Amino acid sequence: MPGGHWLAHLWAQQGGQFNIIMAGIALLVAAAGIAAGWHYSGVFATARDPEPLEKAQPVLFQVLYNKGFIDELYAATIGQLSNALAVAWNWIDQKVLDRLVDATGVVTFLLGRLNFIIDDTLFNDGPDGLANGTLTGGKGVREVQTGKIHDYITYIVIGVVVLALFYLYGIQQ
Amino acid sequence: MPLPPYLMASPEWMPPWLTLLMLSPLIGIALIGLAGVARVPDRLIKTFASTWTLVPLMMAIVVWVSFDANATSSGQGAVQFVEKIPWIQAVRVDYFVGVDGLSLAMVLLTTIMTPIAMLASMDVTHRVKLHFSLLLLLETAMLGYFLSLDFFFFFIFWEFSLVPAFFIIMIWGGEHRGRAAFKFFVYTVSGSIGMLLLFQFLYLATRSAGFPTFDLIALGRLGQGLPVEGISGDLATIIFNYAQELGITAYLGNNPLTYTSIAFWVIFIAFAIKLAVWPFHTWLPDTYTEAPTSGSILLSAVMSKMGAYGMLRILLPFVPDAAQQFAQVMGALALIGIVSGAFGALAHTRGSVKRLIGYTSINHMGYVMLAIAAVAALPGGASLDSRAIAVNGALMQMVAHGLSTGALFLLAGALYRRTHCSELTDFGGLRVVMPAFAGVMGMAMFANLGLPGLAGFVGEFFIFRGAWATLPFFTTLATIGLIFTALALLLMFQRIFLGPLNPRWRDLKKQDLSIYGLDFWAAVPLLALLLVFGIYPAPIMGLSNAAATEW
Repeated sequence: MPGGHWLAHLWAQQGGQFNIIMAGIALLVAAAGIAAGWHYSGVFATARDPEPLEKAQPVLFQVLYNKGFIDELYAATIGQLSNALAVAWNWIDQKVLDRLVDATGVVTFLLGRLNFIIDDTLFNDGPDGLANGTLTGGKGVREVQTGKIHDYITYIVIGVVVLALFYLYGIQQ
Repeated sequence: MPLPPYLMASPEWMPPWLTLLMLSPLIGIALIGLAGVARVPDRLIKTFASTWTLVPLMMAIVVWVSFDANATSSGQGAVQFVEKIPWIQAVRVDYFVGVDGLSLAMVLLTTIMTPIAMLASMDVTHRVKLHFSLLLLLETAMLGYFLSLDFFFFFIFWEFSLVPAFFIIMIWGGEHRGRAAFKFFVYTVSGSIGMLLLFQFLYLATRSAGFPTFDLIALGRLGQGLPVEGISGDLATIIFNYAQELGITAYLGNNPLTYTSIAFWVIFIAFAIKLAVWPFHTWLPDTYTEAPTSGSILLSAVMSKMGAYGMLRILLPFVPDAAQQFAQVMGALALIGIVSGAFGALAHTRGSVKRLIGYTSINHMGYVMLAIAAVAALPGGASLDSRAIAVNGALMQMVAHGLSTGALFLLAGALYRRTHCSELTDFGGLRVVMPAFAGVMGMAMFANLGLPGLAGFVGEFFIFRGAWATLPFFTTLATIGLIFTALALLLMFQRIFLGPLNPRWRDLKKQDLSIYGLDFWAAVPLLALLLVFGIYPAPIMGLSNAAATEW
């Protein structure tokens, strides 16, 4: 950690020794930077003047001017990757998982529909048909009971014929 | 009836306090009804209903103050203020309510969030009396759920809470409210059917062992192998013996773990849907988006916690062996939820505000799930510390998330009321015209994303610390969620408040939050609590500590 040796007694560790060469180099670099800045600042008359470095070293200028393209690098890698992941997760959510949930619902509705059809045809139409048949039968039977003696004699004759035929061909053989 | 040592009745002089607490919102409904008959103007009814919610809040605070957080007995944190009355003798159902550290935190959260939801409903003009009555009904259902300790009542309140929530979404919701309310309702109900069947089975199994019961505390003690008067053995053996008696073992084999595992998954799915654990979370963004502000607040702040509470109350104590068996699976689902919630939120940084907040909720409930998985992985023993840390973290996160998400939905609603706009792309630069709004929402957002100094950080810190011991792999990867939720929330803030001012909103200046407005005062208590618990979490942590360490 920079400046860590000042805190050495706090951390109860041996601090690094002061190195005159290292410190000297650092100081020289900093001084050179200040001197260069001082020197070049003289070439501007106004703030709108072109940067002399741009002409002398266009590539270097662009790199420095754009902060080494670090931001662009981030945007192109981590930024793009996060966006892609966000789109992908969202797609899974809405197009896969939610569809599955909805599909379960649809299947349930289909089962309900199927159940309705079975209910309707078998358990509803069946008894309905039975009831209708009974009603129709009842109506027919009622119309048979005319109260006329001729009709009743006719029925008795038909009945005797049927029983005779039944006796002859059904029981005798 | 005489109580075992781990159940503490309230003092003699006290009325049946928890029952009164649970019923107090219903009295509010009756009074609203009377006011309706007397043709009291709606404006007064709104004020009355909001003021009335202070009654349950005060009653809950009385419980909080007189609660003995250090009381433990026979290997568990003592359940206090117990009321236990035989209810349906034929099936041994008792009216059994009580609080321990787990439920008290949730009761407090419920009673704090209901007044906020009321304040957020002040702009309701359509069927005002019904709206406020439903909010009170929902409060009763939620309180009943957190207080009931008999499965019969627990399940009634669990299902019943859906009814007021359904109508709140259905009548006052957004454009696609019908679909959202329907999905929310059906999904939760269908998820809990298995649990209902399981409890029938548990009742029969305990009956065959000579101790028929729906008592959640007794069943939890049996599950953990703690002594219960009137019966010996643990729940896993009781379940297995009954399965053997029925002859199911001929098909499913002789491993007792098979049967507790079935019980585990049945309970897990019921609560995982409510907690919006991946992949059971898809109802959540739709529902939070379509619900009116009051509905979004109560759904996100309290109702989603019903799932986590159920896992802590039922899942882990009943079937600790199966929970340990599947702890890694739960951890994996938690991790996927954390990551998918975070990226889901990021995918909506150009979409609806409420949907984005909904996705961050999935992410935050993922942390709660991670903590529960970590607790499941360590049933007692040497690493008790990490277990207690994880439980405390889960509870703290539940409270903190309730407060901060409640605040975010409140402010999203307030923003919508001012702009009639909820798409993030339509805002921009609102900080210029509404600096106070930006400040308040900024604080709510930072609390939500877990900035140190606010309560969300405490919860997440404890969860990560507790989960690290057992699920290091999932815990490491879960930090991805921290970064991307923060990113999504910051982008939300940026799109609303920063950048050049969208000329559409030039006239909003007069509508900034002010100390003369209700919106401000609705947000202040939440932010204040977030700050207090962020710096000094002991009032919440202390509650659950006895329950968490003993259990």
